[in-house]
Amino acid sequence: MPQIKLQSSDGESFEIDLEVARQSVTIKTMLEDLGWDESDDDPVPLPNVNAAILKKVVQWATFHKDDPPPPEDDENKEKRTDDICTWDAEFLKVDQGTLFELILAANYLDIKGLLDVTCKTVANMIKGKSPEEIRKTFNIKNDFTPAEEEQMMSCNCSATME
Amino acid sequence: MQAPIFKYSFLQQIAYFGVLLVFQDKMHFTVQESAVNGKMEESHGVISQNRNGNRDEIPQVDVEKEMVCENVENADLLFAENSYQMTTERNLKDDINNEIADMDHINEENMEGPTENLILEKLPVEILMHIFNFLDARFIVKTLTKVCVEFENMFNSDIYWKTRISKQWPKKYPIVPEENFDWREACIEREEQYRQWSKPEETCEHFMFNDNIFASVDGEGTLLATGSRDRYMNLLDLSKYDPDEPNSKKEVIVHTDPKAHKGWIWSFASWDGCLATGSWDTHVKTWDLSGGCAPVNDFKCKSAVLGLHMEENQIYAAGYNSRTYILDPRSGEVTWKKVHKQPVLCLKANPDYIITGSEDKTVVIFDRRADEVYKTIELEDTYAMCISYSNNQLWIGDKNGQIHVYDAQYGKFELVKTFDVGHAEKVTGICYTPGALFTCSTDSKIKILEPNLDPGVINTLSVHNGAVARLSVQNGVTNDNIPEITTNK
Repeated sequence: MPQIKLQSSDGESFEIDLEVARQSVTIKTMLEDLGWDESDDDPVPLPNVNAAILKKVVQWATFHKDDPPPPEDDENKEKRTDDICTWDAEFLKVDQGTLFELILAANYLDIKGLLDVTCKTVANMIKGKSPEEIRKTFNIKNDFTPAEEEQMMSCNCSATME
Repeated sequence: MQAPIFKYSFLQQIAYFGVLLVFQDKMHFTVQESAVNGKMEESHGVISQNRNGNRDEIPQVDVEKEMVCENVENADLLFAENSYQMTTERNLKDDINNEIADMDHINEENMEGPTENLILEKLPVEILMHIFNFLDARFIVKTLTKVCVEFENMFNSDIYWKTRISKQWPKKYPIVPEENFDWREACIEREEQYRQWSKPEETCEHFMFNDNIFASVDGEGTLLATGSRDRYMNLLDLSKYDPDEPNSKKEVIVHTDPKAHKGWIWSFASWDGCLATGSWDTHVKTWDLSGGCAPVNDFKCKSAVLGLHMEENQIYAAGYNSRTYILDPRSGEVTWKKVHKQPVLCLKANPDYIITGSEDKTVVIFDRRADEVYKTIELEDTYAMCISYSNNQLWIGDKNGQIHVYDAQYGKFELVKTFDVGHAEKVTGICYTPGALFTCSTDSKIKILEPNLDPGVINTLSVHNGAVARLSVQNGVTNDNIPEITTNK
């Protein structure tokens, strides 16, 4: 199995199977553009991903290397968030900062499966919560003016009256 | 030599930037050594602080920015140096100057990078959208938009909701344009209807009454009226039904009137707490739903009543004798029009028109203000069994199992398309809502369809053994009521 070297933003190198790396559309495209072949020993630089996150990404991609390619379109597909596999759920038991960095990395590396599962995890953290609980969970500041809030409250009431 | 890198601007800029960062440590040192002004020290401070948070690569970008601003000459030199190293190391013979020219873009891109501890709000909008797309439309509207101003603004535009709908259901929707169409509400409706009907066994309670019910149903709120061949009229309060309590089925029947009519009760209509019943005994009667179903009016028509429409001061009745009856609850007066040659089977009205479908293979649109026939739609080799008229759309279910939709905008009433949605026999009930299209048929099937062009089937309910005679949809477009669908056989 051909190997490829990835280099994180902080200069750490990772040697992984080419097939694992190719789950990232970004890396795949880069290699094609660079005309990369097995004899190439130069690391592929990944400027937006640090070593800690890259390690997690590689771990995820290694576990999922035999997954069927994710469906292209989401047409007519219910947006489920309860279909996260046990391994992923366990894998994503991380602090929020790490989770968001994984999302950014998945987005930058264009790994749809990882992007979806991380976004679903965040969606699950939001689901069923009240606005105040959401603010608390994610440390978001309530920047509505009191007047705006009052207006929202009155809107709420009339909605329930209907 | 033009390297392939320049062909893919965005990706490659990032790639370039990456290489720069690989060498950032060196550059970083350079900066530290050469920088003597306060700005640099400040930047350095930011780095240390963030290093504690284990996110060192991001703040370094900041240094680069600062440096470019503060000391352009020096920066250019540094970039040149770094770029050179990169090109030699990757064996690419690129033009260094070209790369320097690219730096401007690179710096612009970095401006948006998170500079503080990563929190949800600071994620790029497209990623937030991706996350929020996993949430229900209603939850977004009711809860998420109330979290903070940014979230509120994200969902303010019609574009978001329009895109959200078309991503999931790409077919043309709405079939006929509407002024001030509420895309947000439509998105909520479509998602909820789809969720409910794609898994009715999880989302719905289905229960059956075997006695007393044959011909017709109508609902208002949680109240459901049923009429029957045996002349009984029943009023059911569905809110009294408890699936865990077997006896609650009996409590659901809140009113039974064995003498409501002397013939089959064939049609229902309701308006503002008042129920109208039409029967084969040629009478149309109205009942006060709030007052224990007390009788209010009794109109005598000259033939069996097959369809009813009710509004504030007017009731329209479809007559088996081809007449359309106009009943006035205030005066008790009965008048009629004759616009068909055969029995009138179905009828709908709004403030502009009365629309009637008849066995004479026509659907007549009657102009209420001009008091004359406005348009006659002729159907080929078939006749309308049921009609639905709302949202600029006239839907007709016919004898052969097909459904037709007409563009009723500006009074056009032009055929848009005829669909075969899989009913093998007469379509006996049709109801369009912005969330879903409902049909029932004598083939014993009820279908819930997408409310767009070429409606796909969301689900087919085969809960009846015999013909489904009528269907009633209570659809909470503006409230949270779970829509219910009731049928009869």
